Amino acid sequence: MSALDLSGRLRLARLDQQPTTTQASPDTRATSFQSVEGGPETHSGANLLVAAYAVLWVILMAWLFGLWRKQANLHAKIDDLEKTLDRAAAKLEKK
Amino acid sequence: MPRATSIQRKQSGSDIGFAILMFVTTAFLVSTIYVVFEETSIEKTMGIVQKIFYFHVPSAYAMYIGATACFVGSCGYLVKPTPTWDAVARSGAEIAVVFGLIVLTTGPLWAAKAWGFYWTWDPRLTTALLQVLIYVAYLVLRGFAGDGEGERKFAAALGILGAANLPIIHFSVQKWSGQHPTVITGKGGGLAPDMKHALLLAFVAFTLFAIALLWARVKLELAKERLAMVEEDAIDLGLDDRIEA
Repeated sequence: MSALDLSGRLRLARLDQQPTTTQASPDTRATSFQSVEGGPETHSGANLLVAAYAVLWVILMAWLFGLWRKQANLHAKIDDLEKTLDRAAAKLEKK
Repeated sequence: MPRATSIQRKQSGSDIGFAILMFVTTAFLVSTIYVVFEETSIEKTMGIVQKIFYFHVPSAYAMYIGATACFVGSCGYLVKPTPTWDAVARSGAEIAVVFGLIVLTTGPLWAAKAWGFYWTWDPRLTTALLQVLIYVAYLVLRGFAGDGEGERKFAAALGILGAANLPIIHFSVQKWSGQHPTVITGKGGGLAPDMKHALLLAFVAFTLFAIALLWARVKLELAKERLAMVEEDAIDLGLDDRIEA
């Protein structure tokens, strides 16, 4: 084997080792996006956990807000009743 | 004013007890959050989303407490129609709806990760949904059908019928096939020791929480009842031009 043949083979071997950059042809490109079915990672566990806790506290706070409104309504009625009693007492005093 | 006074007597002296209960409940809830997020291990297959379990299951238990209170109050009202029994029944139904809604929203959020979908017509899921709808119907009846003796008795009957579904929810996972996990009552590996500890703590915290909310709601309902009686008495005495209006 001549020195020329050997250097030629070595150059070809180096070319083989280099990464080849292939251009995707238009036919192989994606033409649609499909959703995953039955895959384990369709949702982020952390996001779902935060959502669950948010829902828990929102429901409880909404209910407590409802209780607070009922209590406020009750106080308003008590105030009205007190005013009525005061008026009645004033009438009695006049008599 | 004898009727209002009798309710007042029952309410007096409970404030200290309620304050202690709220303090203990807060301590347990804070401890539960700390233990669940800081000390309990992450589940091998599902990951962090499994931590929903520590609030989902105790919420279901709290829903049972509310439903039981509604049942007891309804039975009591049918036997002896007093405002206290009615208040217990109505408050129990509200607690059942509140915790039932928590169960029905946190469960599907866990299922989205574990099963890949939010909802399926599994026996336990279906019966739990039915339970919440029964108590929603109870509250709609109480809210819109007036507050007379007849309406209260009809609602009490509904409260008793609603409780009939409780054992069906509980045993549905054992009697019929379905997807709902059975880690507590099933024959599988159950829970890791640290997970069991966190769940027990959460059970105690949510039991106290449900009792505290029930207590607060009953107190409010009795105060409303008492005020209505005082208003009636004031009208009977001819005190009021404005109340009648």
